[in-house]
Amino acid sequence: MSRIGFKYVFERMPELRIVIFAGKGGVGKTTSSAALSYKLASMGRRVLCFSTDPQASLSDIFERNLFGKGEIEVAPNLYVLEIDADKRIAEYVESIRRKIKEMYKIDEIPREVEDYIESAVAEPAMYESAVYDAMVDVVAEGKYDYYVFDMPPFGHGIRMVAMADILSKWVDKIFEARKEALELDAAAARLKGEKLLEYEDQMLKELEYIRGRIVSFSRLITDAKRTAFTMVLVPERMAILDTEKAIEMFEELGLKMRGVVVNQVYPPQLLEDPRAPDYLKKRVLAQRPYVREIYEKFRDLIVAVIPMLNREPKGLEAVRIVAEELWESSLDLGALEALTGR
Amino acid sequence: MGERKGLGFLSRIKDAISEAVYGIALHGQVASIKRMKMYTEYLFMLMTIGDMMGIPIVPPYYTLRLLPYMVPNIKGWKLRMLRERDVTDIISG
Amino acid sequence: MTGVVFDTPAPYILLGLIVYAIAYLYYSKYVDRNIWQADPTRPTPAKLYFDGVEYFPVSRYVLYGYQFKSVAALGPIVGPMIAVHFYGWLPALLWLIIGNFFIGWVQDYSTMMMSVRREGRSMGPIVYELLGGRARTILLTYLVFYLIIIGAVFAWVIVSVINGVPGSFIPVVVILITGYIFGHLVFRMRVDVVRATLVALILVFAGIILVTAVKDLRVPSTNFLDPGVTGTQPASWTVLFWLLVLSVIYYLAAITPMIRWLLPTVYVGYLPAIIALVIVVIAAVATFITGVKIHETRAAYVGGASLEYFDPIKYPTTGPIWPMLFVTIACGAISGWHSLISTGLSSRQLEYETDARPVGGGAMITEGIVGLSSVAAIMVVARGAAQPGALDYPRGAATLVNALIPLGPDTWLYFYSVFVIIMGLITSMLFVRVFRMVAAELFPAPFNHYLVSPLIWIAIVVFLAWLGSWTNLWLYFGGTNQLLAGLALMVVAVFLASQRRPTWYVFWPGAFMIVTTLAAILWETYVYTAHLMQGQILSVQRPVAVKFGESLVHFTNALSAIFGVVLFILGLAMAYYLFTGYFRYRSQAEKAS
Repeated sequence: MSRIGFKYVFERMPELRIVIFAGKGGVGKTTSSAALSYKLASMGRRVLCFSTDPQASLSDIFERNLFGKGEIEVAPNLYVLEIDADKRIAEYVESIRRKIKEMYKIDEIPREVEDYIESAVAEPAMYESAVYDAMVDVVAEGKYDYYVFDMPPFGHGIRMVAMADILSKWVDKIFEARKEALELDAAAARLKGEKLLEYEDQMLKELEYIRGRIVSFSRLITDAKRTAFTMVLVPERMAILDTEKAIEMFEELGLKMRGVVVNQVYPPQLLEDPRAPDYLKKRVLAQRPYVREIYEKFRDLIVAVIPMLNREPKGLEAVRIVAEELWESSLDLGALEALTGR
Repeated sequence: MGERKGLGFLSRIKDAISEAVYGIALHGQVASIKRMKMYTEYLFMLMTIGDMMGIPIVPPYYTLRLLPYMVPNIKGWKLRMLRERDVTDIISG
Repeated sequence: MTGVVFDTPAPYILLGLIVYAIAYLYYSKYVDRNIWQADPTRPTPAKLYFDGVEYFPVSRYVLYGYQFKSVAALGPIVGPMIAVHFYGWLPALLWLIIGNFFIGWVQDYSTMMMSVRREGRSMGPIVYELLGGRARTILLTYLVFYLIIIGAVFAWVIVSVINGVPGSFIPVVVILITGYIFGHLVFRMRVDVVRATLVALILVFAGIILVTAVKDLRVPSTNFLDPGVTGTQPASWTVLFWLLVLSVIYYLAAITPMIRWLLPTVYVGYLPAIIALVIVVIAAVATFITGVKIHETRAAYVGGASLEYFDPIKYPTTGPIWPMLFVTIACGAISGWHSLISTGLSSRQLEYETDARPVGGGAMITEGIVGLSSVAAIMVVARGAAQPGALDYPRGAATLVNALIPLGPDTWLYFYSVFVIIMGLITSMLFVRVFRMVAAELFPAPFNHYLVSPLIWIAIVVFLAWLGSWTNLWLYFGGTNQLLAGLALMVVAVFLASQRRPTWYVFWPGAFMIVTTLAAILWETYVYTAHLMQGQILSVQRPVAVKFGESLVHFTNALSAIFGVVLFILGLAMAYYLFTGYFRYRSQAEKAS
């Protein structure tokens, strides 16, 4: 029972289809998602590895230019999608502009509207919501057996999940207000003898669509059977804090975080290894308090421990190594306990 | 606002009279209704694209979908938000 | 032959019509062209600030109808009723004609033009800009006061008619229900508006004919809760009963969604009202054919011609003819309330600057015509009571019209009784809503809540109507209404002065109104004070004194006197702001040129 790894996660969750790796930048979520995808693909499943991290490191990891190029098969059954979110947003905005011009038969977007578009695009929330929308799309297409997502840094989407409920209520209210407005409109038109064609309010349809998307996203993240939401962290102050906060938020929403992946851990064996240089031994000791903290705070959640590799995880060979560690960690809970110095 | 159908003097008189009757019996109330509708519409706009005013509720990616439908209102909305208003504006008989 | 004709109201009404025609065709055209230089090519606020909600161009005929309905109501009926009773029909007629000619349409039109030239702003912001915050506060105080008092006066008139013409309430109920039906037909069942209108009209007329034909339906009888009482008296239980009935209607009108009931009821109510108005005007003019005679032998009582008329206890009439006639008749001659209408919605929907003449000026002139027909109606009935009865008008109108279209005096009596009731009712229902909205802006919580403010209005209205003597209420009301008129005219003068245009055509009427109104308020205060100091009560207050004791009456008189003093001071303050403002702008403009 002290053995850990995603193998056991999959055993515990037979319907698991979606794995999400979240955490701050640089903790190794991209590597983890690449690795897990690789492992699943090597087991014969069709997997999509979807990176939404703007720092775009899947291209680095697989040593191919994948950015914005769509779904690319980098290994048998292993597909990678590194979205160019900015491009997606730009295309989307352009389609909105086109729609406005069509609807009102104008050649130029009015100043106020253009101002709004620009300010909306500049919002940080725009990037995230665009990415989440892409996630919903990809899963809805249903082309793969497994989806592995690597979220934007600090983007666990929890805020949007929290909002999903509020949003649903808001949409209901907006619906009401909109229907009321329509009724008034219709009344005014009837009185003036103007014919009001029977038309369904397009806006109401759009609102329903939006609500649907937001709810889908929320479900995606929080599905207890099909989704495993995992935080990746390293034994460092900020990462631990970030993870704690995320877990808190999850709990407040009554959601379950599936697990925590501890990355870049210096193996305890190094302490006994006579060949290990001093500086490495020092590193082990330096990590000890953080490892202890992680062990104490997240012990029940830890699903995998990835040791510090002695080179950068680039290329399929490195990915394979990390994949094995993710699947069945060589450093199990016992080793971690040892690391805490007890 | 009224389109003068027909060239006959009598038909113009008829139009004028029916317009006047409309003015007496309905116009004030239609104006009230329009104003009420405006408030609900603006409430709606606030809820949906209120992030223009710093009140984010719906993710911006999605509010853009609604934008085309609100284009005609935006200018009026801003004007109204900025226009001075007074109690005597309410008097519409 | 000539002798016969002059026995009828016809020639006098015709004279009025001719003078009005001159006013509209020549005087207003002159002002429009030379002083304001109205330009049909200049974009109006409706076009400049188009927002499809408030600012959008509307046909001048629609606006004319809207303006007319907003300024008229029972005003041109109640005013003349009181004035004719106390001063005779000749002074009333003369004031209607001359007043409207020089002052009435001038105010309505000019405030509208001023608003159009000032981005469609309403009186509040304009007064604030030209005269400062205090002036605006006075304006707003007046507004609140207006909404309440007119509700009280109308409530009394409505109840008087309901009480005096038993069964007249039944067609009114029919109208209220038909309104709901109409709304249901058109909005829910998508019936064609024209067809639904026909159904509604049939129902309404059926209601009136029913009461006329079936005598047993004429219930409840007059003063059914106060046996032995004659006429409609303050503090009677019957009056209280009807006031409570009105309260329910008003409250419903204030809080139910407009589309369901109020809107269609207003529509259904106004249609027969328009017909009634048109018919009575025609009948008034047609009297030289129909031969309906003026009942009144004395054309004028020139109260105030001798000094003894200044003793309000010995001669408890409304007071000397100047200044009181000029505040008794407001709507039809000149009414300050109209400036709020002209600068409210109308100015924001004018399609062309040149439309201000027909819309603003035209509506007021039309109201003048309604006033003329009211005088005619009252001229032809016998009046006896010490106080003007609200029944004078329906009886008079019925007499006039029956001579033209002999459907029977009863039928027309019921028709015009219903007309008076429904006009008063509709206007009050709309007013309580306006009050609700104004309260939402001005009052502190919880009085600004939409469920609470109508109750406040209703409570005060019922209280004043039940206990107050409505003629005196009317005079205070008239005083402030005309003060507002003076304010509006002078504001226009100030505006014109700042634009270096001639101001004489508004300045002199404005000055006249201010001086007259201040005098009127002073007189009213004097009446109450004199009664108070001599321990007397006004005759109208006797029923109240009998029921509740004289001290209550003295108390209310004291309140009224204080109120008068406050009004006077406010009026004086406003006059000060106005005149100093005017001369300041004048000299500034002169220096600049």
